[in-house]
Amino acid sequence: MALKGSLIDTVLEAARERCEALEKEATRFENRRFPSQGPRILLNLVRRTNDAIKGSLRAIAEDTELRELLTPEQFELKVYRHTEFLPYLHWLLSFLQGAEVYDTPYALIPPLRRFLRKCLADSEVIFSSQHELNYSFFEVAENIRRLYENAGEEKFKELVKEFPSNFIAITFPSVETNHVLLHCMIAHEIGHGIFVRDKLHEKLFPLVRIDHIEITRFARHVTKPEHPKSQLELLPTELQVRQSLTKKINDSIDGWLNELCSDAIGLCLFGPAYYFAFLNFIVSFHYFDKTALTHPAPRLRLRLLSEMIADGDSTETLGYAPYFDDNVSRLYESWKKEASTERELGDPLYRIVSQAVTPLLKMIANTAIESSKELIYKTEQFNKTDELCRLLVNVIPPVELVRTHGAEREITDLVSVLNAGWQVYLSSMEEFAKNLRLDSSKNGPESKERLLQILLKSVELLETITRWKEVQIAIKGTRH
Amino acid sequence: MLNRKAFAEFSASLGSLCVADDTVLALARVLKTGKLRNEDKGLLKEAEEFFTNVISGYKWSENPSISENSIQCAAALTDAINAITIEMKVGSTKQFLRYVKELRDAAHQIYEKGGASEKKVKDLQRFFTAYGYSQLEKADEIANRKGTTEASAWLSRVA
Repeated sequence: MALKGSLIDTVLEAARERCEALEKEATRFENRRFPSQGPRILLNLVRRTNDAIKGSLRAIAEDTELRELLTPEQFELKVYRHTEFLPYLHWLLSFLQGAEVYDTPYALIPPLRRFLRKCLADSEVIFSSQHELNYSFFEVAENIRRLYENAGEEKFKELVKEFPSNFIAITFPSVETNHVLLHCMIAHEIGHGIFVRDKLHEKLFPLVRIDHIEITRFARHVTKPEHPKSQLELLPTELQVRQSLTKKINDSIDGWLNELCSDAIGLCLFGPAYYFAFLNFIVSFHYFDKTALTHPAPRLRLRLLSEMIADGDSTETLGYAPYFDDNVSRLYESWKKEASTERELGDPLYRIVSQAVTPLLKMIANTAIESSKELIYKTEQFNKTDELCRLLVNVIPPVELVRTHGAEREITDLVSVLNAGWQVYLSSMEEFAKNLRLDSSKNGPESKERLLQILLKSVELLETITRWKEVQIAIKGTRH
Repeated sequence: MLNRKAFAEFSASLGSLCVADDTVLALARVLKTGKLRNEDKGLLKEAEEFFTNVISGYKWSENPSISENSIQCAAALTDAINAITIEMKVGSTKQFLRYVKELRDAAHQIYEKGGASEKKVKDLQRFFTAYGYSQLEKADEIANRKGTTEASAWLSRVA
């Protein structure tokens, strides 16, 4: 790097070098094999944004008017405004690390993508395995779009014109790539997409009642507490208190309603498979009453889901519970009981949020059911998973229901396969292991691994059947 | 790997940084020519709305209710405080409110009349420069995995 001119010229030169390095890195990904369109779309955005930044930096360096108009501090801000995109692009690029065919449950990706697009047209998904013990599922398109639209320059707006309206990024530990059952958590992310698309916050916000008296009491207490004088200077000012509680309560109510509604929609879409995946996921990574700005405690989320699963013909329940077998029923009853136990939250601001949100659980369920409509996984479908479980326990991929001779074949669907998988996983692993004829010392992990393999194979077969049908329809269409 | 909230905050900070930078340049042009360009009017309108939101955010706890607007106002209050503490010493709560109202009126005047006194334009420009840097700092912190900006844990402990 040739250092010349002022410090800001050096910053500009260094930034251009970072852009070139990023370009090289993006080129390395060009020739890799990915299981879906998602990674390529993201790669394309990164490359084009990098080009745009390079162009802007060049323009800034040559613009003499800017140097006259702005102070050095303001001019630096203009440069940093562009260079700060570089760590952002690196972050997007990090998704591609671990998104190649052999790093991912590639058999699951096309059918999941198909399902996703049935719920949210113009959507993409990227699966990325990471060397860390963390699952994350999140939608990135909305944030990217808003950022590029705020970026001011027309060329940035152009860059996201073709970007999918929903782009779900899923990261998971590389050691659990094939845990197809846990990947049911994608239903929650689809829920976020539907929440935004249908503007569900507009239905829920007017129903929220915030305890004004409690807020006032809290503010008075923290600004004028009965603390010894020596601690007074450590106390927050009125401005700090106003800022903190305003931000925390607003963000939490918004975040919690979004999460709860997405859970409820996830349940509508994937049925009990989502419930089981949620529980398995949550207890692995968070304690039961962990509350955050963005997420309510798992206990409250589980309460909502458990109530929705219960029997009933109201508009807030889906009624899967009566179809559980005895083992699953016992588990469900115990989780439901645990979820309905009231625990007071330690943080007073979260207590205020909880008091505002908890009374809306039924309304959240109702809103989610209404929004999911024809996408709801019906109890009749779930009822048939009993037959699929029998196939699975006998080490047969459950893609087709067994029918008497002469009857039409009944092909099952992705969600039913995953539901059957969960039920066997929870309640029939011993029988499954017996049918595998495994050495009894290997029963646990190995039989689970085999179950996941069969499920992945089933999903792959289902996808082949679906595509075969599509081709048949297309051929018939051209003949006519 | 960053989480959902960190990604959303990173994106939002970067977006706010761009808007702040555009506003600083628009005001620099006002200082030089004495006139707001037509194509920059939107920025000054946005600036006025931002300060209006800061004031609403400040008053929110007096009559709390949740809406899309209240969430924006809460964010604006936090962003304004972060920007102001970077460069300006605003000793008391009342001073803060007075200062924000002055900035809002200046933005309004420039938007409506195409200009304002040099002091007002400079004050506004100084704010948006500080605002830009505070957003840059926030984005940097997230990018360097120093965590998100949930800063009110101490407040709950005091309570």
